[in-house]
Amino acid sequence: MRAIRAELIKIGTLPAVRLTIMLTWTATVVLALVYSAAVRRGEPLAPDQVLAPIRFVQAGFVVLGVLVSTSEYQGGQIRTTLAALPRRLGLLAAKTLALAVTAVPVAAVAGIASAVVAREPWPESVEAVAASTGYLTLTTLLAAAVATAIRHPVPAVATLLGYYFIAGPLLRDRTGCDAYLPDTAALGPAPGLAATSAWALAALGATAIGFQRRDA
Amino acid sequence: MITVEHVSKTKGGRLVLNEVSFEARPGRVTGFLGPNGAGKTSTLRVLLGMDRPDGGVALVGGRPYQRLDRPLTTVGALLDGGGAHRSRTARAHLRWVAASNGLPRHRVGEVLELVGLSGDATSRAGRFSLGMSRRLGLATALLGDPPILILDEPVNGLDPAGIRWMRGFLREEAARGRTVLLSSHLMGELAETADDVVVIDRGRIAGRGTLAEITGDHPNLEEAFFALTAASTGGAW
Amino acid sequence: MNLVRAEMRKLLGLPATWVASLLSLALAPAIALITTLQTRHTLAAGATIDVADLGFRDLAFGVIGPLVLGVVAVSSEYTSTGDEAPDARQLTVSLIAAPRRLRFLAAKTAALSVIVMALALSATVITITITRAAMGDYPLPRLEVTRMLAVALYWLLTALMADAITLITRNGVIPLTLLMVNTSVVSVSYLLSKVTRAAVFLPDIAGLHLFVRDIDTPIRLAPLAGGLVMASWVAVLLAIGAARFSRRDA
Repeated sequence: MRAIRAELIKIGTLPAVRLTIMLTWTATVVLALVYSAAVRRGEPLAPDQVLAPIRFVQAGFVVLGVLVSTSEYQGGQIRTTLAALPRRLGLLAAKTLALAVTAVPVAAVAGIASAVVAREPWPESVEAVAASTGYLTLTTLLAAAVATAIRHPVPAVATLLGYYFIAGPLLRDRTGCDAYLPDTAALGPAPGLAATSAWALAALGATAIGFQRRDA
Repeated sequence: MITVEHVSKTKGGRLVLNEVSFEARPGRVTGFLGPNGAGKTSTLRVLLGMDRPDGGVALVGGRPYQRLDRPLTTVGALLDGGGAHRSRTARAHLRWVAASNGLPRHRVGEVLELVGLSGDATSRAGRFSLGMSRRLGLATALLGDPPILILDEPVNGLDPAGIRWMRGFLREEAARGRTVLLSSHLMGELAETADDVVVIDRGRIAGRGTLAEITGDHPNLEEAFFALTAASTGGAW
Repeated sequence: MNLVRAEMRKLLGLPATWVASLLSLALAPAIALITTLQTRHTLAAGATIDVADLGFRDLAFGVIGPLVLGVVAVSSEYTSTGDEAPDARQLTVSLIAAPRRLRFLAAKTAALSVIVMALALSATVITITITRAAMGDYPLPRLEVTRMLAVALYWLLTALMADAITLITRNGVIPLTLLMVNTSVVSVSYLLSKVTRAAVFLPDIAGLHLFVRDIDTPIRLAPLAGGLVMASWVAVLLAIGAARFSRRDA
């Protein structure tokens, strides 16, 4: 518990994290406005108005995960961290939980904002908001796991966004491996979540092994 | 010759330098002494054209740093550590610095040898220890064989042998007629090395003169320093 | 000239540069290969397909490499030296070696331009060659040298835009996120163009008009006009970046 509290304080006191969250929310509202403007013109740009902005806004959650994990390596803070909490697996678990606790409300607010702007009827959009919250939280954890292995923010962001915005869409477009990609859930709720969860778990597992064995 | 005249600087609404004036002369080691946060690094940053002063002038060799052609042949400077990109090797770092000022390539090997990093020339800067980073920084400063050296806390992170080497090196450079300005908060160290001393405290010059003048009737530099800065440190501890 | 050489050396000494270069050279050809094979299939099945942008549309995605290069050229100056000296940055040494800031920036921009142009021209030639070889006797876009040069110009302008934005933000993550999200298959700018005609004049959409013929936008720009719009954006961003860089304390 103490470890989780410490990690929450670390996350909450990073100005870059606060900035990322604000920008992510702003982008969600702006994109939702764009999509609903297209609907009013009678040319909807996406089938699901609540989920549509999420495809772009997930970049903010990727950055959130990257910033939180690479901040440890930016000025040697990791040494202080490991001196305070030498059990690495426990530490990684605490970090992951703290990040999830942070990401859930941020994602929920983004989903609700998107639904409100889209003027979707309430009971129907609850499912979409819940699914996008789950998806975005898992994406944040996946990004954090990958960034922990890479350790530096710029290469981590380049790698992850390179997948989410270039390689992923192309793979989906040109090959038939939809159901197995980590970001398929961004397009429609339930079916993709299984793939996203599996990828996030795998990344966390691999990172845990690396974090345990590698020199800090 | 280094001349700082009435330099003032405000950072984030706080006056960090208040009418700072002093000079450092050729053939002498000038120690720039002050507690942490007194304004030593801020002064050096203004002197090197990193930060713009709100008032006053800072000259090296009679000109503002930004006006120097091939500045590394006039001034060698060491500010906050080595300053090499973490993924670059020591040699690659020195090669680009040399290229930027048109310095001959053989200087790279010479300065690496001089600071004792020849064996680590192909290691990445991000893997260096604090002491090695300082040495790489010093090698960078010496690349252009400059008549003026400006060094911020050069002995930070050096081991006793390194400190001893640095002391001898700086004395020798001054004896050859170079102007050496070094900042430090280590008084014992400075008393061993400096000819002249400039004391800065809370952004103001609290005293300047030869080592003997500053020490005056006090048993040593440390006592003199606390007497000069008494107002600020009194009761703080 | 010394400064340009130093900046070249600096840039080429970064592992990130090599990764981005590899990406520049490999990504577009790889995508082009997949696209052409698919197109052949479709054509063989008797369907009709517009081949006007074959190869060229794939080169639009390849811009990711130059984009990373533009960001890294500047952000590497602000990266911490390492755990042992967290406050130390390359910029300190850069400005000690080259205190005249505008001259320093000009040298950096020149070095970046040379490297990006070399990569862009090679990638374009490779991609177009692969497309033509893979298509065999099927219909192809006409071989136009100016159109290939236009691709290189688009890559160069994108790299300079990344460089300029990083100069303004002094941080690599923001421009990287912004620009990579917008290089996506369906970019934010493209979405905006569905809602407002003005979005056609955003740098990336305008720039694509340089070499993509079949763009689904409310207004169509001539290649030259598109290039000029994008170049103006880049010029303004570079001017803002340079002004801030030369005024601000390092």
